Amino acid sequence: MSTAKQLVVMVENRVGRLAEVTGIIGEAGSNILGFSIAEGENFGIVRFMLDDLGSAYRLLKERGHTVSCTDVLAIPMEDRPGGLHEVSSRCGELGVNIVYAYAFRIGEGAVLVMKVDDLQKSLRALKGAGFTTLSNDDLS
Amino acid sequence: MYWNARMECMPKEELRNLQFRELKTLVYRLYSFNNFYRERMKEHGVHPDDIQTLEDIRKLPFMYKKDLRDHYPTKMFTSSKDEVVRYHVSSGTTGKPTLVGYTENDIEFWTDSLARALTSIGIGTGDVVQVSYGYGLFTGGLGLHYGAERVGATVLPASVGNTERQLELMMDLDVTAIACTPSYMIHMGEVAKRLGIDFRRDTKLRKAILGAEPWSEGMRQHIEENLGIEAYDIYGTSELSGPMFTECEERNGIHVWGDVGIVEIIDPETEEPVPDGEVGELVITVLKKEAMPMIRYRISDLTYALEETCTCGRSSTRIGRISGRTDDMLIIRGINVFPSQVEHTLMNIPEVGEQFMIILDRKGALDTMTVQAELSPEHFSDKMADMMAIKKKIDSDMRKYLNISVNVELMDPGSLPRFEGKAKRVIDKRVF
Repeated sequence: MSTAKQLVVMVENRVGRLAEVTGIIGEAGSNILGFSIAEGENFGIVRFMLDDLGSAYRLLKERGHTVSCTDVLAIPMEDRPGGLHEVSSRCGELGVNIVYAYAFRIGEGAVLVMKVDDLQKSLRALKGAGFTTLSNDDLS
Repeated sequence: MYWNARMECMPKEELRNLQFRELKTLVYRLYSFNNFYRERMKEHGVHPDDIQTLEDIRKLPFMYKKDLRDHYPTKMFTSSKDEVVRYHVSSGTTGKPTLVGYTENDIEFWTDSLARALTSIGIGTGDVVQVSYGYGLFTGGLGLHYGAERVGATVLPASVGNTERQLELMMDLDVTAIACTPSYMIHMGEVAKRLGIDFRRDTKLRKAILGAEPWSEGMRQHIEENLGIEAYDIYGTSELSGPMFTECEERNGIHVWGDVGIVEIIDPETEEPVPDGEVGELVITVLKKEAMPMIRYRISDLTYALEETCTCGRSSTRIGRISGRTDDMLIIRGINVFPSQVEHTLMNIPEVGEQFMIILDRKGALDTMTVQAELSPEHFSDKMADMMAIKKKIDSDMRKYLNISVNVELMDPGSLPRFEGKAKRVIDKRVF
């Protein structure tokens, strides 16, 4: 059981700004597995799940972007109707509170990335309920 | 029609003699009772006995807004606290506000000055005056209120905001004159239009006394043509007591009553007087003021003086429309804001860095102020709620210390311009 790290970037709400960020990630040779954008008036917060987080982080930082790496839970789901429901309903029963989440397909299945309230406690609860969580190595 | 014909139309020479006597008395009084000004005079090497003519006023040291801040709250008062009957507060350059105290006589001088001014624009008994300046710590509301009551007008103390209701009252109560900021006047016009109210047809309004923020002849024309009223410029600052002087019906300069104040216009660099009609920095000595006398106060407003007697018959010096500032003070919806206040407020918020920008704009007729502040990188969070909490904190601190609501934009660290020379942190997109 492990946690995964995502890359988080502050992006000004201005035409072309996201392209600057994604351009740098591409230049760093990192593949975007999944992402989400949270919108906040004059800026947004973009969270990326990458196959090579380190090189994208370094290059974005070097180019003056505001970036951080934060811990999230990446849970494999079945890519079929009811797949997300299975995970989310169990989270509810276990008292795991989801702050935000995003999902993407990988191989034959799917992955749900969740930011939760109390990471360690949630991790233990999910483990106890038989869930597996993925690390960055599992994803790349 | 004059309120005080003797004073307002006093022959120039007689007025100058009166000013000299009042000045001499004031300087002696301050030298005897005001530690601050005595020290300032000593440092400057001048004694009250050196004031032998009216021109000798130039031997006296200046007073600055900084002096008021350094002696906050009441260290500059010449009256005892018991004699002070009112306080008004305006913004200071950083942290501490500017406090002004008034004795009963100070309120009387202020009211009398406005009574003369209102009479000079033909407002008196039979008029209904809507005072749409803010009431409270700001001097505008209460100042005009007392002045309008004094000339026998009926006062509607509307204060600011709730424009639809203001328009309704204006129509229901047959309001004939209004006192407000020029931008609020324009805003009222726009709201009226939206509601299908025609000022010419549906109201009795004929005069507006506009001030507390910069405006232009172009704005005057716009207001007069759109609303079918006459618009008059009013001038004053809290340090002088509040709004005190207006144009007369001739509308060729603002009359500064000679027995109330002495006007000097100086070159802000050389501090030498500039010729009649030439723009320079306004320096005012208030001859009638008890709690907080002001001698050669550097107001930081740019204007020019007209010495010749006005065609209305009033002999006082007139000053032109204020054309700018010598400092970086901003006036937003009639409220004075210094960029240093914004900086000071942001510096006390650990979640943001020291870089900021101020963007001023107009939405319809109303000013908007946007403050862009850079996030401190270590406070960057992947949770939007955390980021919004930072924004809210800046928002509420700005409201608390600047007394004005601003739009806050949290910026990416490093994204705001850096300045090597003098920082240009203000972008003013407003058209006056």
